[in-house]
Amino acid sequence: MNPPALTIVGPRINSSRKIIAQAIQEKNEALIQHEARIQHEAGAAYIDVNAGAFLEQEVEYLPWLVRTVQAAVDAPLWLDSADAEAVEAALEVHRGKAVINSITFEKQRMDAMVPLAVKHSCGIVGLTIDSIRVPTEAEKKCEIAAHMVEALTAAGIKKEDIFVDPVVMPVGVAPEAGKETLAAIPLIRAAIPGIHIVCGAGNVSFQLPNRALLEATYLAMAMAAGMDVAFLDPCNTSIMASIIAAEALLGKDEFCIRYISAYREGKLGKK
Amino acid sequence: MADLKELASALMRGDAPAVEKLTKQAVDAGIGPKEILDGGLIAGMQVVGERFKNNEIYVPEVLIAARAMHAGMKTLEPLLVKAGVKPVGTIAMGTVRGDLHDIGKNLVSMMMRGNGFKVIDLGIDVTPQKFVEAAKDQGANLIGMSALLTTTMPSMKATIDELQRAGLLGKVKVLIGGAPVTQRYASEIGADGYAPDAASAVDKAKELIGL
Repeated sequence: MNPPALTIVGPRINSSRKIIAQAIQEKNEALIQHEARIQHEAGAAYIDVNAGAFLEQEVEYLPWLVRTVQAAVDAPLWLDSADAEAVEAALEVHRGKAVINSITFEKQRMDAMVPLAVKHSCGIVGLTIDSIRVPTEAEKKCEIAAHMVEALTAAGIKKEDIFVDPVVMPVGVAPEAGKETLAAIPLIRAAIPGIHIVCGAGNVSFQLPNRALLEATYLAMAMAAGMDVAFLDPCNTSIMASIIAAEALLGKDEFCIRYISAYREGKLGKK
Repeated sequence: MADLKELASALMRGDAPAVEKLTKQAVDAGIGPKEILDGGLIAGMQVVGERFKNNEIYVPEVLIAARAMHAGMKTLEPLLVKAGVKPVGTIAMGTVRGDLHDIGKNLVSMMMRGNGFKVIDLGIDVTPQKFVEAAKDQGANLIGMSALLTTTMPSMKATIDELQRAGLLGKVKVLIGGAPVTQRYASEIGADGYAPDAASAVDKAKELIGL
């Protein structure tokens, strides 16, 4: 079977979830490793780890998460932190090529994180946010992305190690948000060849009912627009079903074999 | 009075053209602007707030209700000013320094307006000094701070410290909120109040100024 066209980053090990925060505090390795394993088995190529809820102890907890997760799964991690010290400590113990998640196009945050990405030759996620605002308009997102990638490559980061996230705001509050972010994806693709484009869908459905439906639909649309990396829960079967269908529809699943296999395995809902 | 009930229900539906029309009709019928505001627009907005608090309706439904309220206020505002009707309170709202999230802050602002408050919207990334100036120079008797990041929560404390230096602490009531903020944190930094959602923020604000 051909490999999935979409690279998935599993978001479940996040300290904003109460169960994870508690597990981190109690150093509950079994729970964290279980969360890592189920995501990896469900198709996540990367596992995101976040200990941001603990301001003081993040520098201790983030490397602990790295060691704990990598003892269970053989996968590179996304180090989800705004704290350069915590990221550095995590990079010291990380095996393979990590990804720093994330920076904005702001001097202070670039100065803190970029040297770490260079030193450890790891990947880095750049949000299309500058020091002034979080732009909604597709053109503005693309403009920030272009400036940021220019700065990152000038610092010595390879294009293939850069993941641009064209940040989507909740459509329940900003009706244009989905449309503009979807429009930004091909603009960024055309303006900056060779980089990755990553989208998360958790935000888009904020404050609306049946969030999984909106997220699955949004991600399918983002795939059509050119997103190649997605921040999504691979354990959510309805979202995954939609991703598999989208791959078939976009010609990224040769002879639709993956779609058919998923159906036989019951992954697309009831037979 | 039937007119005002209809006005309130048009507002709850988010029907801006109807709210505009009914507000004008009420004015033409000789009903006082304060009565139209309280009995029609605010009455409707309070039901919207209550339903939102109880998870019966969704954010977009609050947004269209606020838009409908705005349609009525276009007619009502000059009349209220002429009649010398004062807002129930004046709140300076902002997302704290370093934080660019504006959704929660905007929702709270909307709810405050919907309940008769005057809102001074300071925007996002608001420095402690700007909050203090709003209290000093623009007559705000309440300050509403929003933070969505654990990393920007300390800006709330910085603002409270700045208010203290300006001798305004206690005179101006401070209300805080945002996803990572808790009542415990509010007590720790000496904020007067905390609200977990936009509708509760209004209740809390009223309580703080003794309404």
